[in-house]
Amino acid sequence: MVNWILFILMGFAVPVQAQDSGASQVRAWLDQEQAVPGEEVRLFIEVAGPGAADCSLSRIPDSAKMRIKDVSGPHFAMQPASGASEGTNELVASFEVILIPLDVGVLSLPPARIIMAGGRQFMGPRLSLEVRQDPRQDKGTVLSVHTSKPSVFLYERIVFQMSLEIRADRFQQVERAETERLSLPWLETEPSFVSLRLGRPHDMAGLRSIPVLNSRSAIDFSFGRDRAGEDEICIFRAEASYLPTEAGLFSFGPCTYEARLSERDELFCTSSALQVEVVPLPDLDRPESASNGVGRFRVSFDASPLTLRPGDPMELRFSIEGEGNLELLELPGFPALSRDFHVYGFDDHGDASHRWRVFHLAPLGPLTREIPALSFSWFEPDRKSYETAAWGPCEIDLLPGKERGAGGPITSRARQEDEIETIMREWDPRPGTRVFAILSSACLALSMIACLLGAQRAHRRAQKMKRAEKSRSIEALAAFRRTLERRVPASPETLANAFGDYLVERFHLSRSDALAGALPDLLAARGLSADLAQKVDYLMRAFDAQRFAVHPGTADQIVQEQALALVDALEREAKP
Amino acid sequence: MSRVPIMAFVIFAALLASSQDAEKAFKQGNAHYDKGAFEKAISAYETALASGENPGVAHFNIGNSLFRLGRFGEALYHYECAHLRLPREERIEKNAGITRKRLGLEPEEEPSFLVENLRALAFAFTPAEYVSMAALLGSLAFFLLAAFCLHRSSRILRWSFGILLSGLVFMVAAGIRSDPFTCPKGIVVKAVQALNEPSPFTGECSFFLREGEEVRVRESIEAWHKIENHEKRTGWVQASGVCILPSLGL
Repeated sequence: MVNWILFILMGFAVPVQAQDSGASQVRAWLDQEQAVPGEEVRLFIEVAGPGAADCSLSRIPDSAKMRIKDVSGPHFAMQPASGASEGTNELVASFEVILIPLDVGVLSLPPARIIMAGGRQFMGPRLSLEVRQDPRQDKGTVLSVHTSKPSVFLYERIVFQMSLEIRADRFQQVERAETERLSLPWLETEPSFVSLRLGRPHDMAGLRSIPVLNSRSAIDFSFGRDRAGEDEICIFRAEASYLPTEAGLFSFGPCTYEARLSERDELFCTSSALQVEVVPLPDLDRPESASNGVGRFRVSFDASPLTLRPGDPMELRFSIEGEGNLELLELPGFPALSRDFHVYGFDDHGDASHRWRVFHLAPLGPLTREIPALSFSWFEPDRKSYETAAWGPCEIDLLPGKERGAGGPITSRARQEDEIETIMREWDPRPGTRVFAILSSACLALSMIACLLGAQRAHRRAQKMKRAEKSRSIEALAAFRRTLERRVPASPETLANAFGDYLVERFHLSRSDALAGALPDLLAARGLSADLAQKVDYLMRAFDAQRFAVHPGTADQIVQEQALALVDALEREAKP
Repeated sequence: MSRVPIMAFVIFAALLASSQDAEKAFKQGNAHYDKGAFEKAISAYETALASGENPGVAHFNIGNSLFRLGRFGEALYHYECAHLRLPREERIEKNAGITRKRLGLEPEEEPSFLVENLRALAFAFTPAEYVSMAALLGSLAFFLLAAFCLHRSSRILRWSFGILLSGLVFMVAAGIRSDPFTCPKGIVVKAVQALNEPSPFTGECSFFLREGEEVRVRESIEAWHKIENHEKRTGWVQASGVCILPSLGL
């Protein structure tokens, strides 16, 4: 059963594939069948059919014999469909590739690979190009190029050399040449780079860079003479060294030299192409302290002074010299130092053959006894292995003494006016501020509670006093009543005093007020009606009249009864 | 009722843990700074800053890291933020001065002696410190009032009112220091052009603002700020070019 299903599915799948491959066509051709090394050749690729709307060209890699200079496309156009009825158009996508043959011989181009939507691929036809020696090549002149190594490691120095050998008799003509042009693709940053007069003073020793190697170098020129058999030859050399910063395979076209000696005579020669492989640094056995240094180096460490007090300044010097990529070398920061030392910064010094970094340090505290062990690693290309220079731990003699303040040691850097103060190292530099805020808030809360308690206590005391006054007033009233209700003759003075006591307690008057003439006003001011106030005044006057009579005796019975009635009226009207 | 102490303990533990995280991030930032990894240091300090504890210290260290990266406008903004929180820290003033110098900003005109001293006095403390002092004086005044309630001495009353008045003066100072009635200040962190009013979307370029310049932010709409510079010129700038200094409040 399963076999049957597979058979049916295959029966559907095969026509679909055939239809697809039949619908889209890939064509490719070169604009010329023959070329010379270094010449630009154009490769055209066309995709026709329904899949053309969404197709792309797979990357064509460089090889030892060919370099891809540029790829453009797809460009779309409508063209008459091949094999269809007249008037039917179809979509065509075209790509253009500019390639440069590098060496003499037959160059077999890899088939162009077109990728359609959905991942389907179509291969173009195989093409070949015949690369011939340039017919203009001068037989008596030799232009050769080579590198110090065919393969280098990343950041390893590589030297490009060019040598132009011209027969002495020919060179005399060259010296009189109208125009000259030397093209060095591995040096060129712009097309009209070199325009020189061989054998004469020149000013080309500037810095030049190779974009793909991403580094800069000075060019050294030299001129000399030699003998080859019976012929004397003049040799012109150019040399430049580079530090590759990118791994990969890099191809450079042939160098050419051309000089127009006269209207009919021209000197032309070309070299072979050049290929450089840049190998990445190996990850195997790579130490943790590995830098990007590649070369043969000598590394040294030095610290001074080694006898000091906590917080005093000291310097640690890291020095590296030798042959290698010193100008690209990232000098180490040594984070291990910050464990026991305050690192105020560092200064860098040096040139292309020797560099050093000076760290400004200070021991953090009295427990710091040594500078920790430090190490620096780099890659040695000759041995193809990593080298490590280790130093320390280095003991320091810490004298007893007071530690410097937050400002730290006064180093040469810190002295500079434009040097900013270093970072704050304490997470909470002023813990007292927070304590102060908390304490003041607590004090405020406590004082408010104390104030409330005090106010409550004062209120209670006032209540108590009021109650005591009331009780005294009641007692005075009772005493007065008892005096009146005895119905026994009492002296007017006794009655006047008892009534006065009653008024003093009842209306909060002073003793003198109770006897003064302003008594009605005082009573009125305390809320008593004018009528009652007048009656009280009258009664007090009646008492006084009897007290100070010519023949004082007992108080009048009527006055006593009036007094009793008045007290009742007062109690009714002015309730406490 | 038994849940209350448990909840209090949980909240206290959470606060303590967040504080420790912030301190850890701060120390990481210091380590990155020492190694010269200033971008990483800034990231760590920002983590510490997010905790809300000791923002002055974190701002100062971020400012130093930005200074080392050559981002002077942003560094100045962080120094100003740090100065608001730590007004008596001389290191902040020094670094801010150096940053202004690097930005080529002219130093401010010297104010009169009285203005300078009053300003120095007003800006010597943070609003929180003023409030703390007011609280301390207020507490003393309340103690005296409590004593007055018990002893009824007019001298105690006079003293308590005097001290209460001093506390109120500090509260007023705190109010002035927190600057609640004026527009917030901003620092130009990158050179930007200010567009004319009335709208940022239709305006034309009116004037340029220098990196590190101090402005007043009068209004904000979407990604635009309406600013006023020291020459009293107003215009709209993109919000990414101006950082607003935080208001401390009470």
